Amino acid sequence: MIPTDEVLVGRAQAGDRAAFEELVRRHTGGVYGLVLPFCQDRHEAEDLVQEVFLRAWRALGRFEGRSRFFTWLYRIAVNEAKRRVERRPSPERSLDDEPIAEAPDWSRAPELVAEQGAVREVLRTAIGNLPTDHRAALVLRDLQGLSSAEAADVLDVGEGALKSRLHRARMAVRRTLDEYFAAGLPDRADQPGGSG
Amino acid sequence: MVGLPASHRWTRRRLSAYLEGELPRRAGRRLEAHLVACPQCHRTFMTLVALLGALPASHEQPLESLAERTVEHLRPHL
Repeated sequence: MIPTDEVLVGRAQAGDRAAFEELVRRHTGGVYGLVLPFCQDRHEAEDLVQEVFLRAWRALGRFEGRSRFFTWLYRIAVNEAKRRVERRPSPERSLDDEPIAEAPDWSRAPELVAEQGAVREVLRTAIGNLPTDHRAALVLRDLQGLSSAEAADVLDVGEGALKSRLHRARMAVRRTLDEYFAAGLPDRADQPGGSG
Repeated sequence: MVGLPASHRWTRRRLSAYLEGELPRRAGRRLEAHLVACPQCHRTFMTLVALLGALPASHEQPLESLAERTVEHLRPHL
């Protein structure tokens, strides 16, 4: 039988290093996906993943099991990621979420479902430009697939605050795609909403 | 715009709540009536739905080796 996270945490707290290593293997992908939008590149994200697990190991004795292990781990990850962003000199981010009136309906644009390409890059940049609290809400909820309650727990905010940040983040990213599709409209051969 | 069932701003602020089934029934009906009457907010709604469909795919997976490299990195500290 595969042990649950909680069983592995108990063993790790008792000094079982192999149990902690198994937790690392289970959650590396999740932590990486969570911190990447806060990093400048993959290398920084990989470095941050290692730092998050090191901090988790050092703090494991204080984990009391009042939340799920992964929400506790993700809380460490978000705090470390935000700390990194704050260390970098960057302009104050404003959050513009107003629709652009002249943008086309890109809801059925083929580029939107492509795994690679310009739209993917636009999406990554748009997410990376969100203020950190809004970015964290969007990444946890819409990329990682956590529930609103879980995401609020990770961010240590109420569900109302989480949902408010999440909606503004979604609308801001949506606006960036409005800008992208409005700017590219005259050149595009496969106009969104055309034949398909 | 005069004559619309709700304002553009009122509608846009509630699109996520509507999509997640969290709007009270009366507010939901008001929002739906606005979307039917307002092409601009309807487009905003449709593109928001499309965005939410596209976002999970932008969740990048790490290289397979990262988990083992992280374990190796941690071992001297454990």
